Amino acid sequence: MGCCLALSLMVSFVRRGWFSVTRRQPAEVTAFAPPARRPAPGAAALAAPVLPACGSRVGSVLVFTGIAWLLLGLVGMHVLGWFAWAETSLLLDVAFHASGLWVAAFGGILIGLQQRPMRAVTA
Amino acid sequence: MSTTTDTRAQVLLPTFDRALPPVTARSQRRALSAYALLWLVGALPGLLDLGDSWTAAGLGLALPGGGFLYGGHQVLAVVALTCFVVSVFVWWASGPTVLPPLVWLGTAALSGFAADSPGTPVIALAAGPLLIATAIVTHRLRHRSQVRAGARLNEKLREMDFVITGSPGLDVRVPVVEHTPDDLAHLRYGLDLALQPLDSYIGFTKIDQFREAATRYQLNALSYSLSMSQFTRTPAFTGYLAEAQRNAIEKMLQREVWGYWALENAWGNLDLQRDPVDNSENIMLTGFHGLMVGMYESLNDDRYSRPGALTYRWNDRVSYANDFGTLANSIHRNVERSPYALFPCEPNWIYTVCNTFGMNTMRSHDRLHGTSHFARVEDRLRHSYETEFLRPDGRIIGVRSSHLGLSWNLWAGSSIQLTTAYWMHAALPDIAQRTWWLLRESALRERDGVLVTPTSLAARLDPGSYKVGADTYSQIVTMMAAREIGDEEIAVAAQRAVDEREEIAEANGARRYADASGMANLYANLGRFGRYSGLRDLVVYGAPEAWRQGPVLAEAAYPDVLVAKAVTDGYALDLVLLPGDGPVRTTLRLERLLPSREYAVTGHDSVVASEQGEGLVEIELGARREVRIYLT
Repeated sequence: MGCCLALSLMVSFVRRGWFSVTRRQPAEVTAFAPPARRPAPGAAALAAPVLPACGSRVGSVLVFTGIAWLLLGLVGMHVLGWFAWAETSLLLDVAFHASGLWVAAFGGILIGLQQRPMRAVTA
Repeated sequence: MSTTTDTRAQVLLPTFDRALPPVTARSQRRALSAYALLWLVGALPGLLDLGDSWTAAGLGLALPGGGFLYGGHQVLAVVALTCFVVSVFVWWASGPTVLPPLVWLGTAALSGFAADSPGTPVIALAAGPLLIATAIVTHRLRHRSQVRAGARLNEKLREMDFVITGSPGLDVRVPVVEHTPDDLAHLRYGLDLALQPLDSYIGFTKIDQFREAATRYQLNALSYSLSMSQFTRTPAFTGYLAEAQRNAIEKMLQREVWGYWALENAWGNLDLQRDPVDNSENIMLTGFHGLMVGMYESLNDDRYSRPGALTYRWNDRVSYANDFGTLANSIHRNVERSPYALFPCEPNWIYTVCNTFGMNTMRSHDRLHGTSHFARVEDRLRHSYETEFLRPDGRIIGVRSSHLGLSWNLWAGSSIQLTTAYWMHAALPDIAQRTWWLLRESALRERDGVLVTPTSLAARLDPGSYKVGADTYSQIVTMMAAREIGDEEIAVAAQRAVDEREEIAEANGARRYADASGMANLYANLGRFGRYSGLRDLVVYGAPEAWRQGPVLAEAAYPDVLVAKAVTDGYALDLVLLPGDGPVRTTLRLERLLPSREYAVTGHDSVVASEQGEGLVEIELGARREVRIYLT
C-alpha cells in the first residue's frame, strides 16, 4: 500500500512519459460498480441486471452494424435497384429495413445504460 | 476519553552507538565483499595484460559501463549505466532479482567486443570504490546529524508520556455512533463494489498487479473499511455488510489477484513454485489478507478458520488450500526465520509498513484462537523496528534490501511515517504514538482549521492511480492516523480539507471523491469510519462479549434498508434505519434471539423467536427510523 510512495512517484513519471511519447490516454476507469441489490428476507431475488463491463463496446458495435444494415438496404433499394416496393410486400420490406434500426436502437440503449450512473456534482 | 485499563508510557528514541545496526551491517559487509571480489576479477585482465577486449570486459565488471568508457565509447558508457539504473528500478518495482546482474554482465561482455580505441582504465576502476566511499562518508555525516537531532528530541520526549490504550469497556471508548447520510453514501460506494459477482471487477482500478494500484490493495482497503464501519457503527448488523466483506476476502483467492506471485517468485528467487503462502516472503499477501480475515472473524463468524476455507486456485488442477491459521503460521514462521525479524514483500525488499499487517494478523489470530504467535516474536520485531528500521532522529525507514542491506532517505518521508503509525498502533502502540508525535513536531501544520500537508511531490501523489496532483491521499492517510492515535483536531482538519475541496461524484446513492483513485476513496472510508484506537481495539481486544452473544440484524434488503446504527447490549437490539431507495414496506430477519421468547418491537407487533432464535419483523420505512427489539 503506502509503503513505497516514492516508487509510485517514479511509476507516475514513467506513465506520464509513456503516454506523452505514445500520444495515448490512460484507459478510462469506471468510477462506480453497478448498483447492487439484495432482496428482503423471504422475497424473491430481484437482482438488478448487471451490465457486462464491455456493454458500451457491444452497444457501439450494434449501433454501427444496425445503421450499416439500414443504409445498405436503402442504397440497395433506391440506388442499385435490388428490389422495389412493388416486388415485395410492405410488411416484409419494413421488417427488412427496420431490423437495422432496431439493432441500432438496442445498441444505443446499452450504451446509455452503461453511462447512466455517472453524475458529478460539486460539494 | 481514557479508560481505567489505559496506561501511560514514556517512549524515548533509542541511542545508536554505531552508524549501522548489526544485521544491516552484516548484509552490507557481505555485499561489499562480493563487490570487492568482482572489482578484483574485473581488474585482473588489465593487470595481466590479456588484451584490450578482456580488459574492457573486466572493467565492465568493475563498473557498469566501465568497459565502454575504457574502449572510448562515452555515449555507450552512459547508456550502459542508465540501463543498469533502470534495471535496479525494475528490480525494486517488481522483484526480478536477476535483472541488474544480467544487465551488468551483459554490458560488460558487449564492451569486450567494442574496445577499438582503448584509453585509461583508471576512471572505470576508481569510480566504483569512490562512489562507495562517498556513500559511506555521507551516511556517517547524516547519521551524526540524526543522532544530534535524536538527542534533542529525547529532551522533549522525557517530558511526554503517551497513552497506551487498554481493553475498552462496553460503555467506555466503544460508543457505537450513527452513520450520517453522508457516511452512508460513501459506504454505499464500497458496498456496491463488494457486492458485485465474485468474478466481476467493475469500478476497480486496473493498471498493474505488482505495485500500489494492484487489485489486491483495493480489496484490502475495501474490506478494512467495511469492517471498521461495522465495528464503530453497526456491530449488530451482519446481513449484506458481512457478505460484502466475505466477497472482498474471497476475491483475493482468485488467480488474477494473487497470481503475480508466481511471476515474482520466478524472476525474483528463480523458483517456479507458485504457492502464495508456503514461502519465505510475500507478506504483502499473507499479512494483508490475514488482517481482512481477522477483522471479519472478530465481528462475524469463523468460517475462514476452517481447513481449506482460503484456497488460492491457480486452475482446475492446481490450488493451495489455506485458512486463517495457515496464514498466521506462515507469517510467524517467516519472522522467526528472517535475520531482520521483518521479512520481504517482493523478493528481497522488506517494507516496514507491510510487516505491520503481519503483526496485526498474528495478534488477531492469537486473540481469536488462543495461539501465541505474536507474543513469541514481539521482542524481536520491536527490537528490529527500533534498530534496523529506525533512523536516530526517530524516522521509520520504509524499506531495506535484505540482500544488500541498503535503504535510502527517500524512503523515510512523512507519508511512510503516517501509514506506518496507523497500522502499527494495534501491535506496537508506543512506537506508533512516538512516530505521530514526531510528525506533529515536524511535518503537520494546521492553517485556519484546515490541514496543510508538506509541499513535496510525494505528498501530491495518489498511489492508487500513480497520478501526481492534489494532496488528497496525504490528507486521507493523515485523517486515518490522527483519528486512530486520538488527535481528533487534526483528523477533522484533514477530513474538512478533503470534503470541502474535492469534487464529489454520485451514482445511485453512492458517493466518492471524483478525482481520487478507488484505493484512496476506500482508505478515506476507513478514516471516516475510524475512531480513537479503533484499529487497536478491533485487532487486539475484539468485539465485547455482549456483541458476540446478543441479537443481530441478520438480513435486510439493499439498498432499500440502510443501517445507520445497530448495537446490542447482549439482550436488546437497537437499530437506526434509513430508506435507501424511497419509502418501502420491508422485512428484517433477526438472529441470536432467545429461542421461543417474545420480543417487543417499537411501533410494531411483537415477534416470537423460533426455536433457532430467529424472527422476522415487518416494518414501514419512509424516513429515518429508530427500532428497538427487546424482551417482553
